[in-house]
Amino acid sequence: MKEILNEILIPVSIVGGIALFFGVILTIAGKFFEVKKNEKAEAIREILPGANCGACGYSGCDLYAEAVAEGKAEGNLCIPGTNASAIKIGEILGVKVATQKTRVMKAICCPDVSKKYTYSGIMTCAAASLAYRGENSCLYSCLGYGDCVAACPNGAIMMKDGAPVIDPVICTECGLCAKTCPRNLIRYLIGEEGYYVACASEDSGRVTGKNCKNGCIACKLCEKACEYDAIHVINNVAVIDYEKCTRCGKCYDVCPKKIIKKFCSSY
Amino acid sequence: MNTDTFKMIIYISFGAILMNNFVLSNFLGICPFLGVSKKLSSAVGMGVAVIFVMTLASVVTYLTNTYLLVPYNLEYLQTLTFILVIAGLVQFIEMFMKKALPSLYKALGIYLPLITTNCAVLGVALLNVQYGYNLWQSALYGATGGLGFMIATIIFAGIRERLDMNDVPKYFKGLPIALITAAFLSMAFTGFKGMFG
Repeated sequence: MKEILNEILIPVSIVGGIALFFGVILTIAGKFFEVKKNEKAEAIREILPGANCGACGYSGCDLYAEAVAEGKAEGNLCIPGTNASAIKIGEILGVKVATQKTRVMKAICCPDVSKKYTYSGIMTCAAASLAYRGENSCLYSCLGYGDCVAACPNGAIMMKDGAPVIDPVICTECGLCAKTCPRNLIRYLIGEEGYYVACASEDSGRVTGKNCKNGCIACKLCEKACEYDAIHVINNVAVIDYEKCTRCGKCYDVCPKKIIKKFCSSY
Repeated sequence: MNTDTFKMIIYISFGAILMNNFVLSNFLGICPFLGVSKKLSSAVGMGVAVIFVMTLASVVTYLTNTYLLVPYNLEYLQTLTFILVIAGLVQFIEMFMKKALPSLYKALGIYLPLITTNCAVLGVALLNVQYGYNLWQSALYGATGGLGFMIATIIFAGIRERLDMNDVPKYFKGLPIALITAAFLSMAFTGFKGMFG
């Protein structure tokens, strides 16, 4: 009887003793080595999604929260947390945090362009652009073979009327399509909604007008219509300055070629 | 130092680093090997943390085994007690470092809790007992085993960084090609087995 008791008691007491020893040590250490944490940082850390994705430029949510609490970083850098987290962080800090500028990816071409020759090689934009810079007479136009569609990991791009259409809801703004496009036609547009110029042709107005029915002819009507100095014709193509643009839509109304278009991030 | 000790040092360290590399020959610690090898810098951090924890764990588990378990014939409780001791110890060290050495904590911080219950760490503790090493031999085996892990992970991280820039077929992208690479690396390391005849 005594032997059996010993066989059970000794192992239990040894393992239990070790556990108790470490439990006590850790509890004491927890008190003794307690690092005073910034209360603000703690509160901010609660708001952040905790994905530790690094999109803010810090190596984790903890470090970003600390940096925000100490005023070293802006409160609107968390991308998974979206604007909701930026607003809440602003409440904690007692300042108004500028909400993140949302971005939309768009292809800035809507080609209705004449052909120089008929291309029948490998059906990719990269290959087509090698043969006399593509079959389109406009050297800035979308080639339409859909390299961007193939590059998109989320299937957010569709070819429609010879140019890619990007679904802003599915799009994660990874920018792979923009890197793939040999014509560099896919750009980030700043803002939740607004207007963009759907042409990239830097040819003179006369040449563009001859090549394509939907090209910017550099008539500068939009420049004259804009009251905020936000749209300018640079290198024969209208460019919108999104810092100044108030989304009034006057340029949209006045464009004779109807190539200034609306965009929206939610549909 | 006499020749036998020197022989033993060579035997243990080369064995742990090359011939019986923890990751590539014993298949211990595969999960941090695959998980933390995407970037060279994190692989180095993890490697240092593993060396540290494995050395410490070897010493502590040796002491626990010799002075607590063996006298009462409780060798069958090794796995349980070793997990308990290692986890408790690493937790304590993490707390200590957070207070006393914040810069080191930031460098190792994320990796330390990750490896508390790692099989490489538990493996080194159990292998020490199995091979019958004494205190300094255990410590050496732990340190060199960690070094072997670090070398394997750094080589693998270097390969993976280059792999990212290559045109890998779509269905091999990511983990599949990484696992194939790990298999080749393991095959390459078996070449070391014949080093001392």
